Formats: sequence, structure tokens, C-alpha cells
Amino acid sequence: MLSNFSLLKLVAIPSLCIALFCTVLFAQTNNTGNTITGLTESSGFTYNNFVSGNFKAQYEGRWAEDEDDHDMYEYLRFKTKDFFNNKVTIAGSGRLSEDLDGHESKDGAFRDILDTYDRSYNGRLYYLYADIKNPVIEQSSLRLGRQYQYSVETILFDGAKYEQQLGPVATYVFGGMRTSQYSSTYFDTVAGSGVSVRPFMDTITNLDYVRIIDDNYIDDEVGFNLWQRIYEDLNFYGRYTLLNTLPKDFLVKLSWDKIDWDASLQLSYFRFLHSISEQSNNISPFYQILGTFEPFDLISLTGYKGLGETFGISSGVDHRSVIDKNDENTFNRDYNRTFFSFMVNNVLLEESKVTFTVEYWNTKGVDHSADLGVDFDKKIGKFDVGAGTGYSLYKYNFDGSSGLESLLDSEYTRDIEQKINVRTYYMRVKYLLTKQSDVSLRWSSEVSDTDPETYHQMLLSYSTNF
Amino acid sequence: MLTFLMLLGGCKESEIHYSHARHMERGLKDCNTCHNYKEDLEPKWPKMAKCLSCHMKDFDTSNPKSCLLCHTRPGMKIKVKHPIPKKYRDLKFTHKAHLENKVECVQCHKGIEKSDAITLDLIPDMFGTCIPCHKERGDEKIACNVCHKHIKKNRMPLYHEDRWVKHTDARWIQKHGNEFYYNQDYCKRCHNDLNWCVNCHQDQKPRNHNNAWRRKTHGFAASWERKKCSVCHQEDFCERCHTNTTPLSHTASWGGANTRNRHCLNCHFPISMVTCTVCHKSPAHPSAIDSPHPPFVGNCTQSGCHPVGRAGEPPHPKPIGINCTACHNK
Repeated sequence: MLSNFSLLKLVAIPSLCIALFCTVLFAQTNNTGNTITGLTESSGFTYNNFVSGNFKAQYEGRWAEDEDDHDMYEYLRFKTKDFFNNKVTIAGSGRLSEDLDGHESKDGAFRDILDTYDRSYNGRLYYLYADIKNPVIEQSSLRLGRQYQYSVETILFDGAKYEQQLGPVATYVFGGMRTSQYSSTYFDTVAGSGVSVRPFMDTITNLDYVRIIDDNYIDDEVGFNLWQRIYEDLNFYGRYTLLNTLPKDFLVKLSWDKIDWDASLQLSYFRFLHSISEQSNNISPFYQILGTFEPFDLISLTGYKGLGETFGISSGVDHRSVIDKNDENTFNRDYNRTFFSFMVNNVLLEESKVTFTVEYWNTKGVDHSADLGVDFDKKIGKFDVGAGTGYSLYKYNFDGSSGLESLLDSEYTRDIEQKINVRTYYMRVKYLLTKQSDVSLRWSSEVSDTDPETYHQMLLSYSTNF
Repeated sequence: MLTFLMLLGGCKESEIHYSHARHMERGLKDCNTCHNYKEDLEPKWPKMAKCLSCHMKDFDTSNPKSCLLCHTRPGMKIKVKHPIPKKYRDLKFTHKAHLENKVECVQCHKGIEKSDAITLDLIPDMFGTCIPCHKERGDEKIACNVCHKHIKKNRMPLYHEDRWVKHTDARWIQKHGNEFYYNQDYCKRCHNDLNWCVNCHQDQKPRNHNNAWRRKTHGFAASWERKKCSVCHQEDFCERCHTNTTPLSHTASWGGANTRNRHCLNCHFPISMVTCTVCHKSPAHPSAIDSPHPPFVGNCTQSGCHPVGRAGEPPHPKPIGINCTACHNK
């Protein structure tokens, strides 16, 4: 943070950057069709608009009482058309960020994960891969490069994935070096495979396997999924997973969906079966940070009802219960959660949308939290405007679980009974420059019982599709 | 139970033996011969009379086995035309529009000339067949509502063929992370490479991830339901920040030579609190001073060790719920 850095400079520099990027990008986009001519036009492909994608440049300014922070972000994602006899496509996505005014101090109001890097600029490559269609036989594909794999675990890795369709059976196998945006993975490796079968019209089954080798830990995970239509509007979904031969969790879910009534109801039961702690890799949920993850069950009921094209309501309840009450602690809790949302479309104003939501958590040992929000969106010609406000309340009262009510008056325990109110307000305006590009401004303010009490954020961005 | 559920859905098999490959080998290469579409550009299911126009010689009314040439279960009521599955009822597809635009049958029904049975594979695949072709014809031709009656900007595809999911409603915004966690196959139907998750989340945080969240309240949420965090984050994200950032609670009164040192109580009161282990993996600290402690010079209450006006009382509530020697040597 630079205290003497004037606001004028901070707004002028990012604006200039954005304008410069726009100019360069427009020039490149316009010339693409002319400079690259079709080498494979005989197969029906031209290089006109060979690459499509999106570029976005965004300035973020934050102010709070006597502190401020200014950053720039540039996002680029792209995908090429098929080339090499329509067999290959390349896709990528990345982000570059610059801290315009240097790192925040360790206890600074705006300190976030970007301040933990040595340099003031930071690059992230989300994915960059080549897809090769039918590399060996028909109905197959090979993906090479950095990619996400969503199976039993979500994994980012540099490597290869081969998929093969064999009639009603889809199979895949993948492997490579696991990678992360936040830490060095030191040659951690990952491999896996899976098969998906649709034996009948109303049945889909999946079996997925993944092996993660993380330093001294080797984890093998297996997941089995089944979807089955039971009757007309009634569906069943089940999942069972194993971790290193021990049962990990299972989920059963029934959903009743009445299209004609624009209504749905879902009931699910999830059970986490065994503790996860040091025996597991650091992809599993946060045992190193939050301690042992203890067995629990979670029952959920949610419903939705559309009321014509204009209104819609949805609501739901979750009940979580730690199986062994002796396992309850800061990071393994019982809770009840309830939410309700109400949506209004195109009332009074055409192309407008108002959403009202309320969410309430009642957590044993923490007391409760509530969330209330209203959002409004409206399109007016080339403008898309929106505004909204939200209120969150976190009320925690640790004595509720300790049985030490007699100590409430002690100044040593006063801090354990706290309330945090957070009020947010935002407005945004987006203006369409062309069919493919826009500029937008978003301003948000926040008042809370944390330090700092007031906080403002401005996002100014330019986005273009190419 | 799983077997039962699987069997429930498995009774609707094709009841006709038919091989396009064999018929083509024998010279029936014109689809119109059986499907009779040239006049009104609407292909029809061939009726039995049409089949018998060639197969009459194979058909013997005195021998029921001859029925097996075409039918799988001759004794049962024949139901050649299956009801259209719900997922196709949303289509406003017409053969006529395609035939008028000179689209050949095999362009959509890929591999039909080699097929030995009537299976779902013969129905064109949206991603493999429809979209690439429509894309070639211009971007406006791949809008959802070109082919679908109901799927449009605010109304997304059926959830397992049956549930409409309005991606813009508040419920979906709240639940989509969980839905993805439980059933990625649904997402993959449209977001076939699943890059959408990254593309959207890289610059759009959930609404509750405000400044207070970053500073303090995210810890509560993680303590309630860590699984929700794991939809987007892995552990190294938390570690990176927590190993480099001073918690809000570590203010001047947290500890130090001349400060009101309350960090014992912040960690150990109540005893079930274990938040210090988020950063301090194996907290190793000296024992608390002996109790009662040797006389010190200074003001017992102003220094912050003892309750104001109650110098003789311990600097923590009594009883605290644990054995005294857990902290004190004596």
C-alpha cells in the first residue's frame, strides 16, 4: 500500500491499461481473418476466426477508512477451431494479476492470497490443452496438457487423458503430474480411470478410480454412482465411495420432478463413514487445517415451485449430525440450515429480475447465522444495470456449548459472546460497446462489525469476445 | 435394492429385429423405399404391410416361428412405436426442415448403414451431430431455442431428463456447487469440458465472500461444513494464506511482556476450541506459571492478569473443566 499514491493516478493508470489492451486486441481480432488463410479449406474448414474466446481486463480498487489497495487483473481464455484434418483443437485459460501499489502488510485490511507471493505480479494457468479426436480408433479422444479432472476428486494436473466410447460404454484413463495454483506439488502424481455404462434407457452407472501420490501418502479412491428412473417423475441417485479400501461415504437421493407443475422435491441422505486425518492426502477436505474430519450424517429436503413465468419459490432444510457426540468440536459440528428464496421476473419493468433470499444456520456451539439478500437486474437498451443489498448476521456464543454460563460476567469471557453484522450494498452498470464487447463498473460498500468497519470496492472492467 | 432399481428400468427393450446393414447389403439403399418420405418430407415408421411386400415368402401363418424373423416375442402384443421419451418431447425438430435443406439421412443417423439393430445410438447425438453442423451454418443456429421448445436463456436442460433447472434462479445459484459435487454427469451434458466452472469462478466469488468473510467469518463456515469449501478450494489455498497472515485476534492484548496476556483463554476456553491448530500444528508452549505464583511487583489488576478489583481471583474462570496440572506445573 502506498499512502501517498493519489487516487487520480490509481484510476488513470488502470484506465489507460484497459484502453491499450482494447486497442491491441481489436486490431488483432480484425486482422485474424485476413492474415491467416485456410490451409485446409478443402475439408470445409477456414481459418477465419480461427481462435475464439474472451479477454477481460479489470481494475480493482479497495478503500477502508485510512487504507487503500489497487490491483489489476487480465483474464484470457480461448479455443481454436479444429485443425490438422479437423482432428485437433487447443484451449486455454489464464490470468495475470498485478499489485499496483505493492504488498499489504501481514495484518493489513486488504491482505489476501496474492500478497503471499514474492512478486507483485502473479500468473495462473488454469488450463491449456490440446484435444485430439479419434487418435487411435473411432469414438475416442486424447487430451494433452494442463487440465481439470472431475471424478472422485477434483484434480488439476499436467498430463494426458484418453477417452473411448464403446457402444453404450464410455471409458477413460488419465495420468500425470498433479499441480496447484497455491503450492508446489513436488512431483506429486495422479492417475485414474473410469467407466460409465447406460445398460438401459433409465439407468446410468459410473465407476471411477483415482490414485493420488502426494509425498509419502498414496491414496486410492473408488466411487460408484447409479442413477435410476424409478417411475415417470421419480428418480433415484446413489453414490458410494471408498478410500484406501475403507468405506468413505455414501449418498442416496430421491427426486420427484413434476414438469407440468414446474415443481420439484428432493430428499437426500449423506453419510460420511470414517474419520479422515493424517492417513489421507491434502486434497481431501482440510484435515491438516481443520483437524480430523469426523463421521456425520446429513439429511436434506429441498423444494421448488414455479408460479407461472413470473414467480418462483424454493425452500429447503438441512440437518447435520455428528455420529459420535464425543467427536464434536470446533470443526465437526451439528447444525440445522434453512433457506428460502423468492424470485420475480418482469414485474412492472420488462426484462427485470428481483431475487429475495434468506438463509439461516443454527449451529450447535456457535449459535446461529442469518443471510438476507435482495438483488435487482434490468436491461435498458445497451445498458444492463443491477443493484442489491445483503445482510448477514453471525452470532456466536461459545458458552452455549461449554456449560460455563456462570462466567458470563467475567471480562475474560466477554469476547466469546459476539455478534458480527455485515451489511453490503452494490450497484453495477454494464454498457455494450459492440455485440461482442462491453465495459462495466461495479461499486460495492460494506459495513460490518469487523475491522475495518467500512469497506468500499470498485471494479472497472472491459471484456471482449473474439 | 440396486438390482431391483436397475431391473425396473430394464424392461423396455426393442421388440423388433431389424438390421439396416443387411437390408442395404441387399440393395435397399434408398431410405424412401421403407420410410416413404419423398412426398411430404416426413419419414414414417414402416408398417408390417410394407415389410411383407418383400418378406411375404418368409411369412408362414401356420408356423409361429416365422414371426421371429422380425419380432422378438411373437406371442405378445407388438408395440413397434415406443412412446417418445420425455427428453425428446422438448424438441421442435422436423425431418421436413432438414430434408428441405438437403441434409442427407446418414448425415444425422451416422452409422445407420452398418447397424444391425434399432438402438438409441441411431438417434443423433446433440454434441456430436447437431451442434457441429448447426455451427457451420452460423452462430445464431446453435442457440438452444433453435431446436428446443423450452430450453432457452433462462431455462436450462432437464435434470436427468426430468427436472427443469432454471440456472438463474436463486435456488440454483445456492445449490449448483452441491449438485456438481454429487452429479457431474448432469453438468457435463452441456458444459462438456467443464471449463465453465473455472471460467465463471475465476472472477466471480459467491455472494457471501465479502470483506468480512475474508477477514473473519469464513472460519465459521469452514467449521460448520468444510465440504462446501472443498467444492472450489483445496487445502493449500487455506494454508498459503494462514501461514502468512496474522489473525485478527492476535492484537496487542494477545500476548507479550507488558500486555494483558489472554491467549491461554482464547485457545483453551472452552476446552473444545481448537482453532489455534489451524496455524500452529503442534502448539508447544511453556507451562503456565505456578499457582499460586510467587509475588510479582506491579498492579495485579491493571496489568490485566486478574479481574479488576479482584486481585485474589485466578485469571481464568474456575472451574475451567480440565485438570489444573494440564497447564500448571504445580
